[in-house]
Amino acid sequence: MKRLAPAFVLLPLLLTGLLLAALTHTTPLTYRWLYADMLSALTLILLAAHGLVAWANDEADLWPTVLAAWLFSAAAVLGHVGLLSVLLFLGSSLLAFRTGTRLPLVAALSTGGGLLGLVVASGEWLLGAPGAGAGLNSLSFVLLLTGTLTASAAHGAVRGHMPTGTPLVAVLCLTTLLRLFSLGPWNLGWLFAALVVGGATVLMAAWQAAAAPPEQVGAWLGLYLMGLAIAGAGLGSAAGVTLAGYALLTWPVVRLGLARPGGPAWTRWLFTGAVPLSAPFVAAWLAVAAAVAGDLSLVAVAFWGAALLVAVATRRLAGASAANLAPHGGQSTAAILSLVLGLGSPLVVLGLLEPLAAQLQGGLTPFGELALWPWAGLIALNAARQPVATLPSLALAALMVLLTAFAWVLLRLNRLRNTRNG
Amino acid sequence: MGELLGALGLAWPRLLLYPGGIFALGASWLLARWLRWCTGQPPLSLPPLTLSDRINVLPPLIVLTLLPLAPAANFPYGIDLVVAVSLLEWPQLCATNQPPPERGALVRRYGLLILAGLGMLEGAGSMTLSDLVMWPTAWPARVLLLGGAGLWLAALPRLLADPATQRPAGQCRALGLLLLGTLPLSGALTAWANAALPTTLTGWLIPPIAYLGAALVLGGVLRLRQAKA
Repeated sequence: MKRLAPAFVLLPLLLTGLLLAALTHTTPLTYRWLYADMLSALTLILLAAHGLVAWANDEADLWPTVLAAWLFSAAAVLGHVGLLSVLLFLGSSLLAFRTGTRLPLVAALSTGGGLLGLVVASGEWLLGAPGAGAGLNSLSFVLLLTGTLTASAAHGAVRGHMPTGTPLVAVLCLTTLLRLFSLGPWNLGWLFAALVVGGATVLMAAWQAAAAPPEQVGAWLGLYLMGLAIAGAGLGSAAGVTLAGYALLTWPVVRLGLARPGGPAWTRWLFTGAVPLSAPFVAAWLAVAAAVAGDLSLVAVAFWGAALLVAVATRRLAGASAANLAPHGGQSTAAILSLVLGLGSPLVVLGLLEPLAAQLQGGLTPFGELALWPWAGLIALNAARQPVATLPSLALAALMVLLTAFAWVLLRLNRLRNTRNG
Repeated sequence: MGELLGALGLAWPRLLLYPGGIFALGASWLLARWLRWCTGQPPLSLPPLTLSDRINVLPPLIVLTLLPLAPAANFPYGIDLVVAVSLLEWPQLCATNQPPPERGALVRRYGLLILAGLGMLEGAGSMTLSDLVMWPTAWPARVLLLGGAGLWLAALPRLLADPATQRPAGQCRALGLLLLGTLPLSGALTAWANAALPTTLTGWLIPPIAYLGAALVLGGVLRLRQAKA
């Protein structure tokens, strides 16, 4: 019972996130200092998911993580910049105390500083206030981007050190960065900076993951997904925001599956994007499709190359000696979640990410949109609303079933004929 | 839902006859024999197929089934280049009996292919396979598309040098990669031939010419490499 207590505290947070997604599907909820929209709902779901992953992975000293998840969730539904910064600082302090590193604190100070910069420039403490958009300035943007990168430990990864970022802080910092789209459009320099930094993070993490020892692959793939999310913000389109949301949703699944890479061999294939229709594969496809839809072919092939590098990590995991890998109960659950998230990606886009992009539409460019392909999968549209990339995941799955059925019938007939002849 | 079921119901000629099914298995076997002959290797006698062989052949076979090759029956749910390559590379990723490639080897193997993808993407303005067969009107796009296709075919000798190519899944992978590279060529030839020949005839004539020509050139390149080595 004592072991289950953190899960019981985190499950209501997950349910609140799902409930909030249903309530704010069409319109954000605002009341005085409260400002809850689809981005808040996504943040709550992600924070709860990361907390539950920490619990499932049997991480030591879990209560600071649980408390930080609740504090960050409160920050995600507050439209008051001062309170948001305070809660971010408090939660990060708890995590810094627990992990013994200063990274969460530095990230929180950077993000908090960026938020206060908005207040100084606009004179508004509330993010939903009509004049809050006037506060968008380059210094705030740089501080928010730096906070996100620091929380992901991307700077250490440049030197090849395994990323040791704190997912809870990284999630809140990135969603706060995405929140800037609700204030107004980003200038081209900010979009370019976010795209370059995110793309570089993606390439660097994929390069390291392809050669990392099995126990480090999970951490590198986490940074890879975080890079995809930052690059999605840099694309500045509805497709980019969808990519950011989906990459963030895939992260807890990968963390759960690759925390200790052991367990059944089939599960390892589902965490690195090698299997079409798994969640990491869909995330990689979304990245390429969003870049193509934004007419950024060079970025698209960079993402494609990164996805190939990441797929090689599968081979390393699959070839790793079973003796070196401890069995891990959560791996099968994570593998199933990866398949559900991958095959159910149209539903995730429809129910969560499309409304999220619609609510941030005021700050987004029209260069790229991901639409639902009814009963087939996803389709990426360019600015002229022409299809430029297609992932008919459900149609592919149905075709595979049909082909397997044909092959099975042929094999049975062949066996029957051999039996009669013999 | 009805639309998807209807499309699946009408997909059987694609799945069983052309471009998947009998055509895919037969053409991939022929291509494998041709490539082995060009490299001076004797015909391979395959051991009995295992269950994993049968499973691994499915993803490349699906790609071959969905290729926009005339005169195949129309199927509304086409795939794009990234999905096609991922499905085609499945047998390669599953070949766990070989050591995983190093990063440098990976870049050498796929670098040219990705560069070719960039050319085709810029030329066609889209990643969908059906757009790769469309012949663009602007000449820079035509140059990029054809250049991309040329680079794609140039990348194949290195990609197909792997021993895993000899299994049925690897043979389908080789055919799929070759046919992907011939899509822009097929589009260009069709646009050129439409001026002189009836459309129905070009639909039957041009795709086989494109992929037979590409297979012959690929074999010739492999032969030259072999001779140099």
